[in-house]
Amino acid sequence: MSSTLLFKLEFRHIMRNEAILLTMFGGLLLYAFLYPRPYLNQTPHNQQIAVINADGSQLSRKLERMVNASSLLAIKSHAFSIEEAKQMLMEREIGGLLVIPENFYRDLMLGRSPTLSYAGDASYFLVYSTIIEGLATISATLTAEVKVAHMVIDGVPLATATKLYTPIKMSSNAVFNAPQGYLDYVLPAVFIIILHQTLFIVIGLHAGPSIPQIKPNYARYFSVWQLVLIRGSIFVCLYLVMSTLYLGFVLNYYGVHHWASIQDIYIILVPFLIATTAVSLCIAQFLPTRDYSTIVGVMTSLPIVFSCGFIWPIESIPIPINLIADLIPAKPMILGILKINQMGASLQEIKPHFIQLWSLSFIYTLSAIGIISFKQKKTSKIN
Amino acid sequence: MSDSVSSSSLILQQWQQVRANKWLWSMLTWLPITVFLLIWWIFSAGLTRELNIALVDLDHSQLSRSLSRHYDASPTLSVLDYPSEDAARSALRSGLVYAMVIFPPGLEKNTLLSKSPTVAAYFNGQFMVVGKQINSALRQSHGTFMAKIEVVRSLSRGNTQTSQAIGSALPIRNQISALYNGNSSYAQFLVSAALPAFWQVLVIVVMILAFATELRDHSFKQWLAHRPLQKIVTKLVFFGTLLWLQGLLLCTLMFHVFAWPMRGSWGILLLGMLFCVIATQAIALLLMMVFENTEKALSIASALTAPSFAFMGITFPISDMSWFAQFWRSLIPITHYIEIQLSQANYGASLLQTSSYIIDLLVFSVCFVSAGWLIAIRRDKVQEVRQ
Repeated sequence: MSSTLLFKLEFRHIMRNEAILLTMFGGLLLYAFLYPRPYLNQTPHNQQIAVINADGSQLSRKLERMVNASSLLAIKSHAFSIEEAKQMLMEREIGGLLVIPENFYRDLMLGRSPTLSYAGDASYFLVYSTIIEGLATISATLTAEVKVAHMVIDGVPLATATKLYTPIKMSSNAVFNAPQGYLDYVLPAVFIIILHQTLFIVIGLHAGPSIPQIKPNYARYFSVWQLVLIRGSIFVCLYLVMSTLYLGFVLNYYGVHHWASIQDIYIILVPFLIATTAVSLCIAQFLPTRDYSTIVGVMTSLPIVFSCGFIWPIESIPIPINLIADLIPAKPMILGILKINQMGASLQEIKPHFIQLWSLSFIYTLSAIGIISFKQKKTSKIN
Repeated sequence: MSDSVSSSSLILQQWQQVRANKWLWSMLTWLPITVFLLIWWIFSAGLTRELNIALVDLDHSQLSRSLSRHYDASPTLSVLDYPSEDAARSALRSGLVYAMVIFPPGLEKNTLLSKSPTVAAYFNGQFMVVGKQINSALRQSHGTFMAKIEVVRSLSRGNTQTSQAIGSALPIRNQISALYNGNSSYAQFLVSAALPAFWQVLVIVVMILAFATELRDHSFKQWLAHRPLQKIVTKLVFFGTLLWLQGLLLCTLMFHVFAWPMRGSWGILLLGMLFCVIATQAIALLLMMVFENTEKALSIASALTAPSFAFMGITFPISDMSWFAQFWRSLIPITHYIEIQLSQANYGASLLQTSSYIIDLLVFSVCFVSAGWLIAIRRDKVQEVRQ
């Protein structure tokens, strides 16, 4: 029968399925609003720490003022013992502590290299790294000041001394996401995962078997390849619209920086959507009923997030997991789009991901056709 | 007498339902442990090692080569030599390396002339965790090399002792401690939060499926016609116990098999886990009573629980979240549980210090269970009136 008829039938069925609409429009809009909420502040500021000042000298007070002046840190209180600070840590009043040892100033002046100890609660990683980064910077600044002071005492002119506190300077800068914002780090990748998971759920809700079979199954009046291609292209088109919304408007709204041209984004987006649609059509055939697609979608999301290489580097992930993850369209897509859109790579530089996505598209489309025709033959035999 | 008979037959019925549904069966047996181990396996390296950085040496001197070897000696870094800045830039963009370091021409000469040349390092900020680690490893490595140069330099003047030379090269020493996560292992930090997040998804999905087996023609009317309270309670208790046992398995894995430190009381931890199960069950109950539709209940349950990892406050501090994020966070049971787990495992907090989180979960459960219950009763009355 004609493809236009199948298209009309399919489209009507999709648009009348409340669960699909709820997931595709409701879910995507909700996530676009909800997911960035925790990270709107981008970087943690003014992390509270306690200071144990056993020195009480002019210099140690200066050090405290430097801590307070840092945008990363704020002194919440002064503790008199480590135990007291630990208690505050336990009650989550502070995230870290700084210990200025006794005779800090004297030892420093005598060239005895006193030890400045600082600690952070490493159960909260970002809090920890912010506190350590803040304190390490302050300590380095103080070190440089002390060296300059020593040099000036030795008779080096101040102007020269300020340049010469170290034999070779290092200026280290973050490139791509230069302000180290959390939103810029997480959103571009997580949005792909959200699109990937919801597309899977939506296709499962449409193509999965319904039990009891209430509606007449019109699918068997059409050839399998017709069904796969038309069903697939409807979902690809719907998701092209949703992806445009996500990668265009929503990312823009949250001020996430992007480099790639619209054209380049579509060039990698299309094979991603085809591959995801095709793999979803395959898996949908193995679901007991269509509700289960939501279950599969929600349960696989965390493992997929972790195996895509933006949270934990691919080099550190065990090889078997990397091999399995390479079969998931989200992984090459995330790596590809991060590189062209956040890191300014050219299409040529992400060619491997591009080839991987197209290969997955072909393999999964063929498998979908194979699986569906196999299943249809089986059911027709039973009938 | 008849009561006890019927409740034991009810329990038997639950068991049969579990055996009949292959998916429910796997979610209560092998699936959770498989996923727990899988997630742990991803992070099993614990620390990132040997991350590639590109090095462009435009000086080709003895000093630049030994500085490069010094960077390479850092366990976090692995130095790859690139002939030109362009090649290194391209490698950085395409993700082959995570950072690029440039040694300017005349590095050795300017160092010997005390002109303090600058080495420029650019690290990839898009992969934030890796970027931060590379940055600190580079700074640390560079810092120790500089101290070495300075010590040698002042010793070569001949009028100082070694200890004095070290003192002037490193006037302040730093001692940095990562509390409660000794070797700042990323695995322990992330996985100990990710596994409970997954466990919560499991709890809510299993409960919705468990209620779904009682749906007839999209309605609970038939099921709740007789002894509704007993039926609902039996179901909650039966599945609650099994799911709580999954939680127990999870904690055993974390604190015994992976051997992460557990400083607090197992009693409080398991109590917290129990209340977390009840609170999550309460959400499932409410959703099913309101919609009497598995698809919708699942959609909404997943919308609530899927992003719970982001709202836990483990990755991004709660104090820096907007009020709405904090409000939404409080609606997700596992965020209260994770506080209990952290306060027990890390701080060994007392029951009193943990009680506020437990009370949160308790209030949560009571509200949702009673809401679900009210809806169930009210609907019955409305239907009776109509008939």
